[in-house]
Amino acid sequence: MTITARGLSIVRGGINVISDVRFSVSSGAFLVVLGRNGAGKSSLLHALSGELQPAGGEIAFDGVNIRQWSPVALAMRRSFLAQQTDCRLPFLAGEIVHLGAEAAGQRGVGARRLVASALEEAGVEHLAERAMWQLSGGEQQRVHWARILAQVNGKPQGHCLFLDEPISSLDIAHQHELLQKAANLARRGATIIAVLHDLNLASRYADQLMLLHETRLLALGPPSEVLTSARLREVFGITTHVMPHPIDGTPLILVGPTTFGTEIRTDSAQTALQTLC
Amino acid sequence: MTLAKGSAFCVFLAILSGAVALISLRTGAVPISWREMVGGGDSVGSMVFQTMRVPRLLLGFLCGGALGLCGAAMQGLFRNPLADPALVGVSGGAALGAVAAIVLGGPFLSHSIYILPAAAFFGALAAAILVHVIATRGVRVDVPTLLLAGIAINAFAGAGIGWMIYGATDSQLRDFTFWSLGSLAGAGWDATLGCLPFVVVAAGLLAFRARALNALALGESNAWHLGVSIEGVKQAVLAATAFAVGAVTAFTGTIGFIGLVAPHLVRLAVGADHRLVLPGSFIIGGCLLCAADVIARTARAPAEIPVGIVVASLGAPFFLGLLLREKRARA
Repeated sequence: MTITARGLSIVRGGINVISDVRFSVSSGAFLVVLGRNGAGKSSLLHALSGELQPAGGEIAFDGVNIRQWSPVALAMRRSFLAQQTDCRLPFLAGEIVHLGAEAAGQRGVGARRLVASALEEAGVEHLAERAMWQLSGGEQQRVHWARILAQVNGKPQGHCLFLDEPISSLDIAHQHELLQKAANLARRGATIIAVLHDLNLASRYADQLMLLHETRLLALGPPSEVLTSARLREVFGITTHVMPHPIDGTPLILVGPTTFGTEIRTDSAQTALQTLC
Repeated sequence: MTLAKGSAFCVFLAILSGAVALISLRTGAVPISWREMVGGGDSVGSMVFQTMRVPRLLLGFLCGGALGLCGAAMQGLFRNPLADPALVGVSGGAALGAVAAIVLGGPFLSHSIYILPAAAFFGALAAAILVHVIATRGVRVDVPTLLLAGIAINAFAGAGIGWMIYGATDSQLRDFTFWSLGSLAGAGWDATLGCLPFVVVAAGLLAFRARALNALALGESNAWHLGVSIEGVKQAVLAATAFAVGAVTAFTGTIGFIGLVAPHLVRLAVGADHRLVLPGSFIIGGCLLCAADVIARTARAPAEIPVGIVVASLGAPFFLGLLLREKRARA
């Protein structure tokens, strides 16, 4: 699915959070949105998914304005993993995943089969009969990931997944597992648009990065172009060293040694770093 | 939801409602033989059975069921197990509408049995819309605000009813007493058949909303991303609640706690899936009100206690127990 935004502006609580953003992503892309807290990353995702009405500009899915899609049709082609979801009624994890299967248009036996495969794919089949409120934050996040996988319905081609900080509660192994699965979905034709805070994870799994700064789109492109020390200093105000990963050459971001303040530019520091790698 | 759990629950509901119906039909001031129950005839027993016991049982079941159903739907909509038509002011709005009709519309009341329910319906609808508008902040419903708004609406409805009573005549006061306590004593075929269309409309509005209410448990944003048209569900739940609570209030007066208790019992038994919770709450709510009515009729026979008193006496301790249980669960 190709998603196009033209002149997109978003206002929340009377404050401009996104101004005049234009870009386009197509099937197979894994786009990660980066930026400081409050940079409008989540708002951008909610607007792109069609939930939030933008103050200006327009969004199109496969060339069709998003306002012309019905909620049911959208749910078959687009899923959204929220930053945080709480559930006060005593639903079981399996029932939550079932919601994704129903959104994909499956009922009865088909839905049950889809739920089983999504639970397995997300590695949470052992939690299916547990109540959501009994699960840890990370376990809940993985159950919701299973719900999203059920909504994809085994057909990543033409589906768009919005992932808003999908790994915020996960341990390092599950972080990589989830992002690897998302990258595989992109390889099979899905469009992935995610918000992440870890620059190294973004650089490893995304094929495109979007850097938001002061409501504007500062940079959009492959990780090697977007992640430069100068830009990271401009956006985050921290000192970083960007170097190719010793194995595959993707940008690797090291912070410090002095995080804030002047950057260390002595030859000895550079040499030390290069030896390390 | 497993199929086995669902079927076992349905069997249980069938047995329970059968038992409650049988006890309710057999219990009362006039003893009724089995023969009179099945065969008819023109003895006193069969007259009482046909013109009083049966319509009363049906009215109790309809009203209790409607309250249970609306409680479950409201709790689903507001994502909170403590929402209830009485707690959030909808019953208060209905009572104000009904009393206004009695006091202000006196001469017109005799024209149609639907004038009172219509007035109660609009009172309930106004309260439901008001509480929803006040409690919605951005995309989510703020529960403390919801309860505060409910308290305020109840207080306002109470004041309105107070003004009406202040200017009411003696006969209007007698009519009003009926509403303040809640009773099935007026039950006859008129009331039962008058109530029926309202409950049918309410049930119809909610019949295919179980999936949407399930999705809403994850919040409006997630539900929307799962393909649910949020506004449609909201309007259906609010309209259904106004219809059902309006009619129930008009025909039986203010009966609280059924909408709170019935869905809770169902969730304890089968979990939160609204495909079971909605019909289950209807049947459990109906059984609860009929059982309470049996107590109301027999505790001080031949005198009758208003059923609202019985329900509140049993429902309030249950509610307190619920709060204690939640407190322990979070500790």
